[in-house]
Amino acid sequence: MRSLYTAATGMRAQQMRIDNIANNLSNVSTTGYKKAREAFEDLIYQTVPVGSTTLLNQRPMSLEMGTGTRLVAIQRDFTTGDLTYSGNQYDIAIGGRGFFVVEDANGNQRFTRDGRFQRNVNGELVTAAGMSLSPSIQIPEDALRTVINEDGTVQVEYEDDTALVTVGQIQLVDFQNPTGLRAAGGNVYIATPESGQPQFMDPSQGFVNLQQAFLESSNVDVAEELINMIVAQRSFEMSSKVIETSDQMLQTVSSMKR
Amino acid sequence: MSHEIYASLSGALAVWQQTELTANNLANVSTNAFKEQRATYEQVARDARPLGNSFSRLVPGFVNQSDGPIIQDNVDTHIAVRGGGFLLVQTRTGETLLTRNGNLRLDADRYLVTQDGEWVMGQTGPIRIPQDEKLEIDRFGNITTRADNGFDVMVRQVDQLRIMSAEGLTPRGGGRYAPEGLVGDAPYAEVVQGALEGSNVDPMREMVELIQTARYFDIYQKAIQTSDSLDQTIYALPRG
Repeated sequence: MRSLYTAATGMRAQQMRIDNIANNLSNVSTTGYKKAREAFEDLIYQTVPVGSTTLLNQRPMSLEMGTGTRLVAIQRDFTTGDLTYSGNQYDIAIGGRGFFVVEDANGNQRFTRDGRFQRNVNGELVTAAGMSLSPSIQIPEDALRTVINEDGTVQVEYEDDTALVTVGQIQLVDFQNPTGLRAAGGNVYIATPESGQPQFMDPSQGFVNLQQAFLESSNVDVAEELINMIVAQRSFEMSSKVIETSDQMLQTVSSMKR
Repeated sequence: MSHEIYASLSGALAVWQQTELTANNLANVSTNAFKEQRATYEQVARDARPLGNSFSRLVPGFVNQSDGPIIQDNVDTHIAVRGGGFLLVQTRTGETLLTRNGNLRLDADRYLVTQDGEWVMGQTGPIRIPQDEKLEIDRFGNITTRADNGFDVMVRQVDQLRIMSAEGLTPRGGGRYAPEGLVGDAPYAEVVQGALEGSNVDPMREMVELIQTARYFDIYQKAIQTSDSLDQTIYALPRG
């Protein structure tokens, strides 16, 4: 009877894999989205005694019978997505490592790579969801043009051909273990003990690399996802065949008594 | 009652257990570094008469230790071990286990650990990666860290992974094995950083196994039914 349950764990794992692939594929156009990969592990083993001695072998024997598989982690892959030109002066893409620090209405820090910023009524740069950059950056209303430099300094020009005035500095943070970040939806992440505390990246050391008027595309590779989907579907089918076979064997057993 | 019915029953039980093994192998086609389990049939208690019965049972075969496919993902903390070798890990209770599953991560204290939080052992104990430094592991398992700020590059030797070879492995789940026999360093193993080892289960072979066991099971059932009808005939004789 164990084979029925063992095969069911395989089917459940593949089902969860399909769920995750569905999420990756539906975020193929999400700015700054990072694909997630499933990690499976085998379950504990049960010791099945198969008798003590034989003519040839005098030591007790037992089979280590596995009981299936489980999903242990969904790990995010933080490789940089392609940078695409958007032309919007408040769009910022991060080349390489790092996260923008944003604050929600309650002052909670969140981290994001989605650089689609816009000005709110107070002139502050905010995300599409209205979270403000931290520390906040205010663009004066009469600014004609905004320049965001590679190192994160934000400068404005009030009239054509006048000197640029610095109005703020965009801070980037990095994590020791970005894989440990918890995705909170809405393209933002929350720091966890696993990810470690956010560490400010020093622009004077050349760590920060921002690109104005560019956006980072999702790093989902559609071909890879489709291949994974094929693998998951076939593995699901094969585990279902085990259930079918076990069922037939049970049927045989029950039909033995006429 | 005839004995051959029990001989057939032993065969049916053995193929049933084989199905359970196949179920586990197939459930783990996507498990990192999973090693397929095989079992063999064995003849037991053959009695001395020329046409005496013998029984069949499933006995532990072996864990197929061949390398699974390498799946590259460029994550620094992911490693694949090639050749006969295992990573040495220590559980929080102090137990030493072996694993091929190189799906590692850094914990909150910046130790290199498995997904279940067991320490990965280097030559001098658990491996700790300093802050702000990038982890690099070469093919011999040497762990270095690199701090690179665009101007200066500092490389620091941290430790070397302990890659072990072992005999007589008992699977413990989570890709871990408890070694029974001799454990020694594995000189020919190689480490690949930024990749994971896939499962070495061959789905085609497992499906063939499944078809075969189902057929064997039917045959044993027929044998049991035949023995049964012979018995019935015999029991019916006095009345006839």
